[in-house]
Amino acid sequence: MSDVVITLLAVLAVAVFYYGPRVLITLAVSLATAFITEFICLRLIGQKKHEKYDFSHIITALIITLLLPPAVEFWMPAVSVIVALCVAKFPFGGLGNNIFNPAAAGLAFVGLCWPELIFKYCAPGTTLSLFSTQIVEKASPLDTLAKEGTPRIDYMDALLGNFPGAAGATAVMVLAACGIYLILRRTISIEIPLTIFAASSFFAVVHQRVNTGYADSLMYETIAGTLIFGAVFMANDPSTIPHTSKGRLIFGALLGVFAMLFRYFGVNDFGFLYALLIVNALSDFCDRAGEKLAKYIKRYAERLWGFIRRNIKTLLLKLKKVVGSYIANIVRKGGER
Amino acid sequence: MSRNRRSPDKNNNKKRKNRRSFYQRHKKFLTQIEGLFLSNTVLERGLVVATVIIRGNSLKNAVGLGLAFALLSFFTVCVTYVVPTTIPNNFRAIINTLVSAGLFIPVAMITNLIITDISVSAGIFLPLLITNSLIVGLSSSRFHKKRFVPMMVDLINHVLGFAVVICFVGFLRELVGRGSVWGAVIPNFPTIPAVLLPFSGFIIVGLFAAVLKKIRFRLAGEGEENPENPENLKNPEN
Amino acid sequence: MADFMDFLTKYIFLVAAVALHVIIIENTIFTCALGTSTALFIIRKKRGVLVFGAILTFMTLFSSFIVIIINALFPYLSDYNIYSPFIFVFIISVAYLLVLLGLRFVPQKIKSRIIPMVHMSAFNCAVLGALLIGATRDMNPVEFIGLGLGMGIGFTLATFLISVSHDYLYSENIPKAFRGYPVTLVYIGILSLAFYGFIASELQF
Repeated sequence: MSDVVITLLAVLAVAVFYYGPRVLITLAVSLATAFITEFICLRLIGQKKHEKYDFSHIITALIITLLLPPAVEFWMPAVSVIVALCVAKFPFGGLGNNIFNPAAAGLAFVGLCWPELIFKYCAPGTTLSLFSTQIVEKASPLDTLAKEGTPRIDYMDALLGNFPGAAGATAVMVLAACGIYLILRRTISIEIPLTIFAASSFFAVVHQRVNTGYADSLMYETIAGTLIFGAVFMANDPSTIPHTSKGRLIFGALLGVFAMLFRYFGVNDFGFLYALLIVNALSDFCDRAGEKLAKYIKRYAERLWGFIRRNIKTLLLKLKKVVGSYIANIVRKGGER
Repeated sequence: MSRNRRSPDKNNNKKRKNRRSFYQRHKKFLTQIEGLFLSNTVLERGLVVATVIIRGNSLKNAVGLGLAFALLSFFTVCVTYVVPTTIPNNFRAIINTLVSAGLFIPVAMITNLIITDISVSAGIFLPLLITNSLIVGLSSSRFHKKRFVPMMVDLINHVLGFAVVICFVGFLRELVGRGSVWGAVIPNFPTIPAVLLPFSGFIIVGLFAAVLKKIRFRLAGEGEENPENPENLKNPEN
Repeated sequence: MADFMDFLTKYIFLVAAVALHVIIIENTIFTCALGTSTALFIIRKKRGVLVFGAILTFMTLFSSFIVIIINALFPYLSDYNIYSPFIFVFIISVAYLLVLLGLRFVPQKIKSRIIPMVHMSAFNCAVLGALLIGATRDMNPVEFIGLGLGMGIGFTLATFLISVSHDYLYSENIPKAFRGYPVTLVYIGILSLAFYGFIASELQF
């Protein structure tokens, strides 16, 4: 859990670099609300002592701060944290027992409640006033894609996060580095991020929303919204994901597909979060489906291999005949000419 | 000095008596008002949840639907009480629902007279009370097995259980979601608009159900060996 | 013949499109909350969720067909008014009697599982709700069938999503005050929140 906090702080540093100290004030509000809510809820469920090295509420507060826009009203992260902890975490038993990712639930709630306040982004590098929410609004890549336009972001800007979006969800290079660090430290497994990107890339290539080619479509669909941030930090919460690696492959694939469907048909930029909530409910099902699928694939692969081994001579003779007649045809046609 | 076996220690008896939980001491009364309190129709038995969640978002709707539910369920169960129990349950379900649908016509007219435009604001949830799970589920399995007067008391409690919950939830959701009470807006009241939507209804009713369960534990005592522990009590459907 | 096949294909696609819209955007349980008590009852009893869903889908489809026929013969009879619920309940009772008749030909093992729950699959808010929504919105026959199909399949899908976590929600990991029914409602609420990502505003019906 400390690895996740460290990497989130790295992302926070980028957000502060682009948008100034206002992000830190939002974080302070989220953290204060998280500590107070955690204290009250632990007492209510009968747990008197807070577990050592339990940073889950800090992680929730960090994720909520980084996925909200940089110039958000200060009460918004507070409401989001309260909903996240009181609705998605403690009723299900607290640390390690939650079915849903708490930050996803809190953000999904405020995203539906006040969409006109949540999805207001500004250009990176803008000096934000510490206590005012007045900004010059800029469209995020997701907005532009939804309105059938083509965003104008070059590859370097995309990597460095120099485009409008949520406070911490744009720094692609830093997010990718954090993801690789967490995978190497075995804090998260590679299956889920890999399958999410595979599924979303498939959709980006097959259904291009921009007319400048495959590479651009792939880039814009990947950097837009909260896909990378969600794939690294939210889709790998250990208590919400399947336990088996086969289950995790199915989980990641389903998440990628639903996230893209929410992106095409959903109402706001938090499509990945809604998809995550639905697929979290299916994590046990993914485990069972993974085991059954692996069993069937193994059985049929064994049968196919057995069939090939038993009939290899006949198959080779037939192949020789087909290839031979094909070559003879070519030679005869060459001779006739 | 030996104790007199014939006169037991009266202090011990008093202490043993006081160890009985609140539920055990008032069991008869609490069982009579079960439908309203400890086995509340909505918060414990899980009946007629749809109406509370979708239309329990304004006090006017809540009062109108509570009234309609009370009249419809009460008279339907009382009228179908006379249907002989020799008829199989599967066919009694048809009779129950047809009687309910028939009684809906006068009930809807009366409710519209008392609360104007309830048909418009409640939409399809007013006629949906016809197939509510109290009539379909509990008539044969609970109410029709009792004698008439105890059945009426039990039925009134169940019906009030729904009415109280929907009115309270409706009042709360209208206040927090729109900042108004019965349509009268309170100026400068901070609102959370999503509270009016169905998902908030599910979550709010779930949280209230948890509060009621906690109260049941407190009253009955939490020990597993306690036979009155809510976890050991009878199946909530019966 | 080719024209007939074209006509049929076009209407099948239309029905499928309406059904898909109803399953995802106006889901019976997650968006309209119709039939929640029935779903909780079935899951608690651990009966076959898919079988129940199949019977319920048959009820909604059959009732929709009958309403379309009545609409064609007596146009004003199924307009949405104070008397229409009685007609709809009568139609549902006919569908229910047909199912009971059909169960006579089913093996005893399956029949004994289905009989205790079949009245709940007929007389619930989902089936009556489908007919009332169709009447309120004054739908054409194709949309009505799509609505009936979508409500039934949407109910089955939603009940399946809830039943997947049923064992966990009744386990010892959940705090005592929330265990069982309260946390199941919170769980349904969070899934409903996720499904609301497809629609922005309150539905009017």
